[in-house]
Amino acid sequence: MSILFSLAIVAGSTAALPQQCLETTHHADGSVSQRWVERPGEGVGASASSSSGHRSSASSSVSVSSGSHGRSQSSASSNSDGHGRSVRVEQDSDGCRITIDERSPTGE
Amino acid sequence: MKIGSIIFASAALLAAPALAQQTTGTSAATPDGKDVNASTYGSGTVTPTSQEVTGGGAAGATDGTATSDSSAKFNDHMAMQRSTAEAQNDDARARSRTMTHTNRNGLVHSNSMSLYKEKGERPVVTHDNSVVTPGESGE
Repeated sequence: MSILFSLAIVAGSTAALPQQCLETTHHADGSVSQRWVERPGEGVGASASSSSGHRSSASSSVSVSSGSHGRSQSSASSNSDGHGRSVRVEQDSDGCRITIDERSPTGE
Repeated sequence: MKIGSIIFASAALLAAPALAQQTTGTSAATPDGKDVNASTYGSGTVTPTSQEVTGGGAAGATDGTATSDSSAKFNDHMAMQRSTAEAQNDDARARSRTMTHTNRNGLVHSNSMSLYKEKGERPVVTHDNSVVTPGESGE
């Protein structure tokens, strides 16, 4: 079965730019694009997409709060017939924390 | 003396007005039981010291593609979120979108819509809108 899969990832901070997140998009055709997302405290986002020969699904969520907490987080996941990965992004004044969980086709 | 102070302080706390909290949210989903579906939701809360928005989306397709995107931003004056979900195959397409924004004055506004369309059929559209203005209770 031919499975095409793409997932936009809001990826981690770098030493040079500890207060920014990098968004990396792996397109279904194998290409990758990246862009800097907005500065922490101002914006965060996540997206996911998938396609396959049978059932595709995608989900995303985001939550931000301002005021005394000053934190934000977002997450995205995508899967298709047991293939897929999920990405969780937490962003606050310390920068970005990214957790990527990738499942193999066998679910291992 | 101390007991009197404690009683006085407790009474003062009980007499103080409750902190105002404004909350509302909306959601929209395409019809169940179809090969393509999409749904989104969002909500916002404002208190005297904070603003919060949250939302998400999900999409599914049989023999097709599904995408979902959620983003949010905030500053000292406002917070807003936007979630979209889309799914399509050769026979139908489903879309859903929710946007929520708040401001520090206590306004919370959430708006959702969904659209489902099969080839050759009229689209099925739903809307959900909720606004809480300063001084109102959202729930």
